[in-house]
This record gives sequence, structure tokens and C-alpha cells, in this order.
Amino acid sequence: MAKLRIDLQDGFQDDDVVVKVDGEERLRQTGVTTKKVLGLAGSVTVDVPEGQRSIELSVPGRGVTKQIDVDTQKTTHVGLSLAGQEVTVLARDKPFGYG
Amino acid sequence: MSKETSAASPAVSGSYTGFLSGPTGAPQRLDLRVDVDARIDQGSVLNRVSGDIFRVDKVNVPGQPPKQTEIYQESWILEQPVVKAETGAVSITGVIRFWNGVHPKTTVTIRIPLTPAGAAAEVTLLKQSAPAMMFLCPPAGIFFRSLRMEIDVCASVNKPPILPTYGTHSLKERPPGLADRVLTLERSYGEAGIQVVLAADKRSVIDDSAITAWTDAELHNALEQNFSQYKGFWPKWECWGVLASQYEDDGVGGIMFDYAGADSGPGKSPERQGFAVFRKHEWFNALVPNPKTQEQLEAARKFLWTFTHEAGHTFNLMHSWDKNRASSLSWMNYDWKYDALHGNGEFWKGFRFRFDDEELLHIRHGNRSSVIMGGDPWSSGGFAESPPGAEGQHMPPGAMVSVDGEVPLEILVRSQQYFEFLEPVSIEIRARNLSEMPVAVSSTMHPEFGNVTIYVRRPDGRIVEYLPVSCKVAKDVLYTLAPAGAQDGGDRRSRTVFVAYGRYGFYFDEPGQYVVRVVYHGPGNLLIPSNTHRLRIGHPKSESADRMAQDFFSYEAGAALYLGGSHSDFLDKGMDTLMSMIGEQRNSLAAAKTAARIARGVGRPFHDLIYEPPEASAAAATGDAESAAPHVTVHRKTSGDTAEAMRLTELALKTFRHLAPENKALNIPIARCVRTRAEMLIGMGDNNQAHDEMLAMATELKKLGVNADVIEDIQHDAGTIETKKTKTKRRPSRRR
Repeated sequence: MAKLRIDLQDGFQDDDVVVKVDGEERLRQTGVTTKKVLGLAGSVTVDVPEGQRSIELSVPGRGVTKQIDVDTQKTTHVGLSLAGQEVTVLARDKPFGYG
Repeated sequence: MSKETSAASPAVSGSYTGFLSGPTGAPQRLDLRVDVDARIDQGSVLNRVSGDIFRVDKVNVPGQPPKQTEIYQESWILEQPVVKAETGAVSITGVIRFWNGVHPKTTVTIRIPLTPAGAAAEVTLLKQSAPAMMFLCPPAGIFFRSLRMEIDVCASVNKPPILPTYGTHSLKERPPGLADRVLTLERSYGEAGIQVVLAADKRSVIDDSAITAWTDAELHNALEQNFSQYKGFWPKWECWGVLASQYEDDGVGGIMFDYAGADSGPGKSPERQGFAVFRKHEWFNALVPNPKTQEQLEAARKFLWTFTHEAGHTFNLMHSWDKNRASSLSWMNYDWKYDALHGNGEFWKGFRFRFDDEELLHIRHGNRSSVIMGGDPWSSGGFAESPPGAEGQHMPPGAMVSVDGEVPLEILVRSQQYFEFLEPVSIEIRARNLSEMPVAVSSTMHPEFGNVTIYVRRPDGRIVEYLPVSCKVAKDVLYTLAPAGAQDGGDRRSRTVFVAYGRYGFYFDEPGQYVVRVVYHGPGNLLIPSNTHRLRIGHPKSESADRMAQDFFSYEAGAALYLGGSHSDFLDKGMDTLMSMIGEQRNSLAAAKTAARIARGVGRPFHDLIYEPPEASAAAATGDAESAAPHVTVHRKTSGDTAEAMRLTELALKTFRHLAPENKALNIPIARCVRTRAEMLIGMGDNNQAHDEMLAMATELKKLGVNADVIEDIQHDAGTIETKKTKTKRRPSRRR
């Protein structure tokens, strides 16, 4: 098994957010708002089988859905940011870190 | 910038501070910052000059030296200084820009003698058609601003290193030509032009045994308990940091936790007083006192970055990407954010351990209120480096005046923290004597008399000045406050001010958070700002309330409310709107407060002025000037509808009394409502009922925990009502 941390980063403002991994809902939260002092709105860490995984972010209030594929051997941390209806994705093999 | 200097001229940059030397008038002090040549090792030259102006008041205390109070007024900046070398001096001239308010064109001329060492800078500010203001400012040091910082440590992580230190050539990932030096937190800021003095005599070890992971609220609590400067007057150049264990989100290595506002932080004004660094974050797993390996050195570098970055937030610096400068090589950027744009590892290959120039501009020369700890709220716009759009947040002059040092009076503004949608907003302004001597205050303390200015920050961030509809001119009757601590409450005086509607309409018509601040203008040029008070206006609870807003937030309804109810034909529509709202929203505080507000006007007599045009033929025939003039008669339109007024007050009191046990802020509306009823009952000749209702109110408020001196006042006033029939109609008088 691998650990995958998914961070909701910039651009969230009182949004309802759903995160699914391999089709399974892993996070559902209302009022998600980015703390500008950190650049972080929230996060979820999930245990997943090693290998290719599918992550889906939904922000129903904005009509936004974004799906990405990651390989847990290369990616252990995923950062998702919103800019209007665009989602930017950062994926890396080490923590982002916020301060 | 144009500059003509001789190569041999000693540098003149740094700070200077001094007093107004002419013309005579209220004493003032100027903090001057000259940034035109290099004096700080590794420091940038920004080619700016800036200043902060303070008003100096002296309070005479018999038997003691006069107490001096400084009230910060405003800041300015000279963005294009013309620097010239003269014989034995450097001169700097230019047109300055004030950060706030509207000012006539103002030029500054600065002459800095090069000899003798320590000679004062001669500063002249010249506003159009005003006498020149001349300051004599001796040098105060090479830094532009100075900050005292306390760093405490949690017991669970109390092992060296507590503070960061890092040699800039320790790792090979660095930009070419980077100066080799050992950086500490103090030196990082010193190179930025800010003197950070760590309080070496104060290092508390905090018992964190009960905390597994810190929350923002717990960090703020720790600040309140451990920061020696927390109490007292803010803003000030003081800051608290703590080396703590870990944050509730283990991805966070540090945080400036003292914020409120839109981010819903745990702090309240004053903000930006403290930050935390989390020693157990994985960034610092390899942190040791004498790093040698790549991993250890990276941890030491990150430790320095985290401390400097978090302290930067206390100066109101935001992250680089939030300022549209995602590619900035700055303390305020995240390395991984930069690397995401430019390639893995590129941040540290380019970072020169500095703030970017816009950030330096802010912390050295920015508007004092937006930089100083406890000044403007977090992320309210560092104007020198603000993101696009922040320039629209123009602030009225005087909105950010603040006190430096002690003052004889505390001005407190307070109200209930939550108002329903449509509920009229009133605030209480209270003056309290802090000194050992009696102090005189204006008995009015109301914006209508010009001795109080009220600033309101609306949910959209705009700060507006509340302007009353009426302007009253009167002799300033003074009320003397007893020395501090008087047992009967004689050391304080309160005034409730209706602020829902004013000259430019409704001021609290949008749901959301507001911040209110008051500046009191007392006798003898005394100027004292209050705390900043937050209140929230709720959303409409029903569709009907939402629909009603269209008519409620109108001139007619607003004017009728402001005037406390009116029988004027011109405000009929407004009064109808208010009555409809009272009926439809019955049992709500919005209805109760509106009813209480307009009851007196409804119950009082109302007079019209009837204008009769002159009879032209009569004037022509007789040549009589009097018959040629228009004729105005006073006509009593109504004796007042006391029955309706009593009904309105009953409705209001029913709701107030139902909610009062849970809402102490309703004590004042209850008292005012009962006094209104007593006045009308006396007018109706029912003194007995007026007397009884006043006494009942005293009993009621005593049960609600109101102060004994207030209860005594009410009982005294009840006792002044003659309880037998009398030909003289009397209002229940107030003892004070």
C-alpha cells in the first residue's frame, strides 16, 4: 500500500468540494476556503494500492470537475488549485510544505 | 530619480527623527527615512524617502513631569527624489505623496549636513498656500525601522538550535556571485533595512505537554499568555514568535496565526502580533546545531527561511504568488511553487536570501499602519506592493491614527456583535479616565457635534467615514471624569450613537462583517482613537425580509429612522415602510429596535411651517414692506399619537425582555424605551405610571446584572417624577 496526500491549495473560496480516488469518495467538505496565510485550504491523506491511481476533484458550485492519473511510485503528494473554473495540478514525490 | 553626488560623499541613508521647529502650532514629530545611498552591507538602495508624522500632546499632571503622548497622524513617500551634493551637505527634494486622504501638492526639501557627525537633517514640508513646516531631525541610525522580537520555545522542542543560523555558501545550490556571510534572523532583516532586536532577557519555555498538535486558537492563547507586550496600547513595533512542536496539519512548517477577517482566523484586532515555527515538521528532521551533511544544511537553510518568512507575514507581507509575482526570488515565495514554474531546484539556485524590491519598499517605506504590528489587518493591502485593485481601497484621512505611548483616556466602542438584517445599528462610545487626575471630556461625544469621527469598514473592504445628517453647533459643555478606578463609575461616560443611517444613506445595509473605529477630538486638541470593533450584519432570514430591503433602504425610511420618527408629509412613505416592517417582522430585533427608535417621534407634537406668498397688489398699493414679505405661520399638525407610541414601545419591550437574559446588549435599549414611555406618560398626566415603570425597570435591570451605579441613577430619576397631579409636565431627568 502507498500513502497519497491530496492538498487543496489556492483559489478556494467557500466552495463545496468532493475528492474521489479510483471512483471512491475520500473527501466531501463544504465551505472550503484557502487560508491565504498558508496557501492551503485543506487536505486528505489516503491509503491506496501501489501503481496507477485516478484522482477526481469536483467543485459542483463552480461546475468544475478535474480528473488526473498518478503513479504512486513517483507521486505521493498532489496539490490542486482553483483559478475560476480552471484547476492546476502539482504532483511530486515529497511533501509540499506550507508556512 | 536624478542624483548628483560626489564619489567621496559619505552615505546619508538611514532614519532621522525630530520635532517641528516652525511654524508655531501643535507640536509634531517626524520619523524620516532616507534611502538614497548604500549604508547597509548587502542592503539594496531603493531611492525613496519616506516619513511618518506624529502629533505630540502633553498632559500636565500636578506634582509630576508632564506626560507626553504621541498620536500617529499619517505617512508620506517621496518616490522620485532629486539628490544633489552641495558643499558640506546633501540635499534631497521632490513632490511627496501621502498614503491617505486628500492633500494639496506638497514638496519636501531635505538638507543633510555632512559635518559635524550626527548633524540634524533639516526637513521642510511645503503645502500649497500653507506655511512651511520645518523639522529638525537628528540621525537615529542606519536602519529604516526597528522592531523588538520575543522568541519563546515549547518544552517538547527545547533543544538547540532554537534560532536559525546559516552560512550562505554552505550549499552549492546557490546563485553565482552570492555574498558569503552567515545569516541569522536579525541579519536577514538587517539587510532588508529593518533592525530586529531579539529580547535576549526574555525566553519563556512553554509547557506544551498537553498539546499534541497546535491549533490557531491555541497559538493565539499562548501569545496572550506569554508575550510580555501583548497588553497595552497597539500598534507597536513588537512581535512574538514561538518554536512549537507541530501544527494540527502536519504539512505546515510555520504560520503567522494572528489574523481574523475573511480568513476566519482566531485573532482579533490588533492582528499580526505573532508567528510560530514547528520544529517537528519534516523539514527540520535533520536539523542539528552544527550542520555538516547536505541534509543537515538544507534543514538549517529551511529553518532560516521559515523564521524569516513567518516574521515577514507580521509585517503584512503576503505570499509572492498572491501578489502576481509567482516568479519572485524572495523570502515570501515557496521554493516548490517557484520550481513548478522554472524547474526542480531552481529556486535555491537563484535565491539571494532577500525580499524583492516591492517588499522592501513596503517594509521600509510603506504606510506605517499597513506595516506596523497591530496596525492594518492581515492582507489588507501593503500599499507599496499590493496586488492590482488594492489601490481602490482609499482610506479617509485619520482612519488609521494610532497612539504611541500612554494616553489619559481610553475610548472604547462596543455594541452587540451580531445585528439582524434590517436591524438599526447603534454603537456605544465610552470614555474612561486612565489617569490619577480628573479629566474633562465633551459631554456630547457625538458626530453631530463634530467631536467624534466614526470610521466604518464595510464587508467589501472599503473604509468610509460615517457622516451624520445633522450638524450641530453648540458650546462645548465639559463633563469631568473622576480619577481612574472611581467606585461609582464616575471615571467613565458613555454615549449611544445611532449609525445605521447618515448623510450618504445606510451604512450597514449589506450582510457581512464590519469594523468600526472612533476617533475622539477632545478639548485642548486631544485626539484619541478607540479600539477597532467588529460586528456582523446577518443575511435576510426570509424572502419577505429580503424583498422589504428595497423599500427599507431608501431615503424616506432612512431619514424617518434617523429623525426618530416623523409626522412630516415628506416622510409619510418612509414611516409607512417602517410600520410595515414592524408589523411583518414582529418579534424580531429589527422590528423591536425600529419601533423603539420611532416611538418618541410618533408620540410628540409636530408642527408644520405654512408658507403664504405675499399679496402683490396689497404691497403695490400700500408700499408696505411687511405686507410684501411672505408670511409664515406655525401650524400644529398633530399633538402626537401617544397611544400609537405606547403601542410601539410595548412591542419593542416585549421582544427586548424576551431576549435580554441571553443578550446583555439589550439593557440599554430597554432603559431607553422605558424612559421614552415615562416621558410620554408624564405628558399624558400619568406620573404615577411613569414613576412605577421607571422603578420596575430598575428592578428588572438589577436582575440582569446591570451595574449598581446605573440602577441608582434610574431610581434617582424615578424619584424626580412628581407622583401627584401637577400642572408642570416634566421629563424624567437624568442625574448624569
